[in-house]
Amino acid sequence: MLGYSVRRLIQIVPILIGLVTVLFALLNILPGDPARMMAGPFADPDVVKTIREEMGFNRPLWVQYLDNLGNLARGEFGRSYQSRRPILRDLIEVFPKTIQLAVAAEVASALIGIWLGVIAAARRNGWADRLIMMIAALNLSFPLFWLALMLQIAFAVFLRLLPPSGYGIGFDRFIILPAFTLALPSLGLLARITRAALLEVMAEDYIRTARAKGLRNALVMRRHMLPNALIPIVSTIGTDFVRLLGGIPIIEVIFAWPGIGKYAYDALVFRDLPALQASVVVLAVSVSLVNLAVDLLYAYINPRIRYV
Amino acid sequence: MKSTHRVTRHLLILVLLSSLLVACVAAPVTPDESATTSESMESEGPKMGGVVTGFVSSDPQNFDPAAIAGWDQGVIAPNLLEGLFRLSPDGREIEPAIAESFDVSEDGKTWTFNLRSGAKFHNGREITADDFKYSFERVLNPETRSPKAWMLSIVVGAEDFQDGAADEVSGIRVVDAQTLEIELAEPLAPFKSMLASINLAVVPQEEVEKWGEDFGQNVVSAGPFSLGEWNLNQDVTLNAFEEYWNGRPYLDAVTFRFIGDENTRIVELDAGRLDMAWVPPAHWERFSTDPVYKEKLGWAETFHTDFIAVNLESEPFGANPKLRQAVRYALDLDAVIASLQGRATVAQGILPPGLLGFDENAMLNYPVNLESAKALMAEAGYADGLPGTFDVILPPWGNLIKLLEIYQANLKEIGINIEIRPTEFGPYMEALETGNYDLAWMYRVTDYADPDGFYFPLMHSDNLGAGGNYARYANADVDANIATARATIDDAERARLYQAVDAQFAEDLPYIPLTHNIYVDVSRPRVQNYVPSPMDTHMFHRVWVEE
Repeated sequence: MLGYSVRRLIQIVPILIGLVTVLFALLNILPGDPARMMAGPFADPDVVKTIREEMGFNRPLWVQYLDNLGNLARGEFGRSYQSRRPILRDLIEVFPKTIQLAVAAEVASALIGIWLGVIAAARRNGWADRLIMMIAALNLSFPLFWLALMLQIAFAVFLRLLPPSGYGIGFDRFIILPAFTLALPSLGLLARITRAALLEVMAEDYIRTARAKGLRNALVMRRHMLPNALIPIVSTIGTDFVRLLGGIPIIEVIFAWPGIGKYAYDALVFRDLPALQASVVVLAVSVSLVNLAVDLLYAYINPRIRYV
Repeated sequence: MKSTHRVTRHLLILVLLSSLLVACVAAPVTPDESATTSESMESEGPKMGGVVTGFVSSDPQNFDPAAIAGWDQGVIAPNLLEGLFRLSPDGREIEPAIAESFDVSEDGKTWTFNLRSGAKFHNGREITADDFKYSFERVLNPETRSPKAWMLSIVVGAEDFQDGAADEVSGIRVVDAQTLEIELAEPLAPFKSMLASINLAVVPQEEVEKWGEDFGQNVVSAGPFSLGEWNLNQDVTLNAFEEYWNGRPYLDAVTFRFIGDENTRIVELDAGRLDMAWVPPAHWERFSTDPVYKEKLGWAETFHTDFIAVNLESEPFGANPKLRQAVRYALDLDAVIASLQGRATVAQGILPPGLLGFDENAMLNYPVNLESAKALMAEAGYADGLPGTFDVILPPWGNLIKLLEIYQANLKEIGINIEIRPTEFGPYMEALETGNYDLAWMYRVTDYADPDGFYFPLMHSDNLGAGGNYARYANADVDANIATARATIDDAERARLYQAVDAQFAEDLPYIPLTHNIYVDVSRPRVQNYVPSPMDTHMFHRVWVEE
């Protein structure tokens, strides 16, 4: 298990190199010039040229690329073009806020999603089941930004229950709307998966046996059905967490959540390569670690799976 | 059993409802304080205290005057930074700031500034002439990498200093603690407005050295507010500076939140957590008709001109002024302004209203007139229309394309076919700089509140090509008038010279003027005496709140 984990961690390195390479290439192929962004629109070309030289943008691309890779290998994220401040210091401040949001969203979607799935399975083909499945499908198909706006209007303007955007101290009322919005599509997906998994387990012989010996329905569900249905659910949560991280930038921008997604978005707008690259690297490492954690969790839940 | 079922069912319904709620709610029309504030509008005058919450779209990251170039920085910075001069709250006048008075020598080259005694930095230290010498040399120093060093390049000795041939700028002289003298290589009238720019604000050497690379996040200067708490990526608070030379601000503080999404800002405003927001087109209808909010719309006719640049070196538009005039006659600018919800005015020249030399009567006056346009087409030799299709390049901004489509339809009517070519900003600028284009939509804003910021870069032949004269316009009279106006301190004389330039411009039309932008924001009824400015700076020194 340890050997397996170490091997998986080592595999992250080539992935990161590939990622940094693609990012570097994209930012250099894509039009947009960081020197011009720093000088302001319609700036004097001499000013742009001076900045380009000062920042080393006039060096051959491969020199810039290797230089950049070398810095990363030494764990140096460099300084932001915009703020001229060390990026590492920024990331230490913004990344935990993203983790808070992602965890809150995942916990919310898991709890509510599984719960809805259980109810749907228990009341199979009843009105609750149909309604839940319909809503689950709807949630999956709405664009995030639209969901976000509607929830803001509903809960902040109309009901005045929650602040529409911003950040407080972390897990407080500010996190509810962004986390819930982020959770909605996952929640629908999880409800469907849970229902399907439960229905499959429900047909098993041991469930009939449990019922036959006179166990109450709720107990059968809790003790025999749910644990056995957990494997597809956990794997869904795992892959879903990665998908959820993908939704983070747009949610952070809409809800003015000061996390790494908003940070990366602004860096992209300003063509701030070092800041953007550092954010993407941090996010990529987190995704890899989450994937690893999900695989390890599998083995724990399902004794039939063992890694060597 | 029964009761748990019921609880479950209720909870279930609640979750589902909240899920459904998203589909069927509308925003309420007015905030709840609307009823109370409409009567208190005629109040007894400014009150001390309170906090106003404003916005910018992203973290400004850096308030070092030597580094500022972005919009988000420029909105906030004038509240923090101050130099010899400053812009008035409405942004239309240049007022003396740390310079109490100034004097320009007969030849227009030597400027002497008498500094206000008792003016202080935010750290409490009194400002002296040495501080200005330090601050200006810092902007010029290549190590500072200031994008605005060019503003001082006309000072005697600036070049030697930048090349390393001299370790100070000989043209910036400290006469005594309260007197600063700056000698220019040539007389330059707009120098005054450059000195009002935030980029030439005064900073104390000891703080710059103390903070090093972090000075931009810990700026100390001399504006009416000092830098307070700054939450990265979230918000920044400016606190009233008690010892500001012109009296402390009415407000205790202003907080600027960093909200990139324009709808979120409106929702925040409705929730009462933001005091002002830019009005996005989708919300115009609501705010302009709402009885409370329509009184709280802030209008600023910005120093901003949209126009079509014509590459005078390319056929056929470059060779034929009649063709360019025909284009202008054909454009239905009123339709464009209507599609902008009235948030623009027709440009009758390159200069936006409100700047020195702007004279409605002296400007070209080309009303929409298809007959005139067709007659001019005939005179130009294209009675049956212009053969071929011509590209109009423009930056790839979504809302622009819609406007260009209106112009496209207008021009089709007089037989000119244009193709709309959205181009990424880098290649777009490159095309303008190298002259590899026929027609280009473009805009100009000025770095300093002076007509020179439009005429000199766009129309003087010294700036042909990359310098800003993208049309490649060269006219000896125009050159002479712009140069003389630059060197003339007398405002009336300058205005006359610019009007002479305008007369020539109306005939030659190297740029086809379109519109001037109007910036519109809305603030909550509690905010008093706030005006957005045409330079995109939002000043809070004289803003107060009515609770």
